[in-house]
Amino acid sequence: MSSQMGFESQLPTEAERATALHKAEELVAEDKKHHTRYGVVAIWLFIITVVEVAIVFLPVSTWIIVVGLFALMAMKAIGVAGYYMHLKDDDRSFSYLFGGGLFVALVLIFAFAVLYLVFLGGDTELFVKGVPSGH
Amino acid sequence: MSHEAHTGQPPTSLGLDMRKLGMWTFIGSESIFFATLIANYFIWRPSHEGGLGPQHLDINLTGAGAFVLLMSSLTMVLALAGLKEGNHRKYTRNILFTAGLGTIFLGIQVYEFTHFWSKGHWLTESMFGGSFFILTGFHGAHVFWGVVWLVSLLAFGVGRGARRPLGFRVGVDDKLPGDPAEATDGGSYVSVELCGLYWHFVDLVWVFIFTLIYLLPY
Repeated sequence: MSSQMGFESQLPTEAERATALHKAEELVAEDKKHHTRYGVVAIWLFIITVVEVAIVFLPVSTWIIVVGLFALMAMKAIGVAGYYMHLKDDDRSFSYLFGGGLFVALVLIFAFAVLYLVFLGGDTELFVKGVPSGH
Repeated sequence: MSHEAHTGQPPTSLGLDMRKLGMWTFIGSESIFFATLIANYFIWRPSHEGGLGPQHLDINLTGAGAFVLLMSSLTMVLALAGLKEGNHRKYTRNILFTAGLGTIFLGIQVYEFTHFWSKGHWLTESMFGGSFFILTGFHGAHVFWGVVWLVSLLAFGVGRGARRPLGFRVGVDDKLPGDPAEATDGGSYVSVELCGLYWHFVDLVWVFIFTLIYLLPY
């Protein structure tokens, strides 16, 4: 009898069960929200890709196209890294690790570009149009 | 339940999973690797002298490839969500979709490479050819290993033990997500999450390659 009472005392109370169920319902709602978000991000990524391909055929200034392409590329990268790789909700340490690598990567590209320009004697036209054979 | 009991791995001093920390460090270093290849491509981009040049690149074909990879990222994140819910069918289906879409992307790249090869354009033709094939080829190799990883997840039964916590009512509580590690066997969730991170990174690299290599010259 006493062991039965001991067992019963380990069972969750009605209040505890109600709290657990409420918490579970909140988790379900949060999960549904995440699923919707994944779909919305996918639609945005698709639209941006279509715009990217379309923008290069527009009869506008090259600089507008270049700036537009960079902006669209950044938006896609944020969509994938922030939402699909969960950087937006995950621990900040992961963002710093990835951001650190990305920063070094961008510095590397910039440094190569500057070195190349120095090699060409600062000739930006040559830099853009290309080096003739035998240079 | 402790982190160690969940995943079979001791936590780091930051309280984070060491495998996830390692994967993010790897992804950070891979960003630098691809940056050097992109910088190399830009330096040699003008040096094609009548051979394969930026004007030969087909943006419609690679645009389709970009779309396929982006959709594979969606199916990958849905596979992880399926595992979190303890829904094994959803998890398996989406892992297969992801591997399938990755294979389609590889098919597009193989078609592109063989098309250039049939016209006499190859790695050694010019510095442009060399930098282009090395950059896109390395990305393709990453996609290939990603597909192998995805298939091996299913082949080795990772996530097979996905289950609802004991005591839950069938049809009512079985749709409740709960703690991901609790709803899976040991470190399965983290194992699939690591594969997902790698896959999304491969997609992310293509976002950059597609814009910088294929669209910018237009």
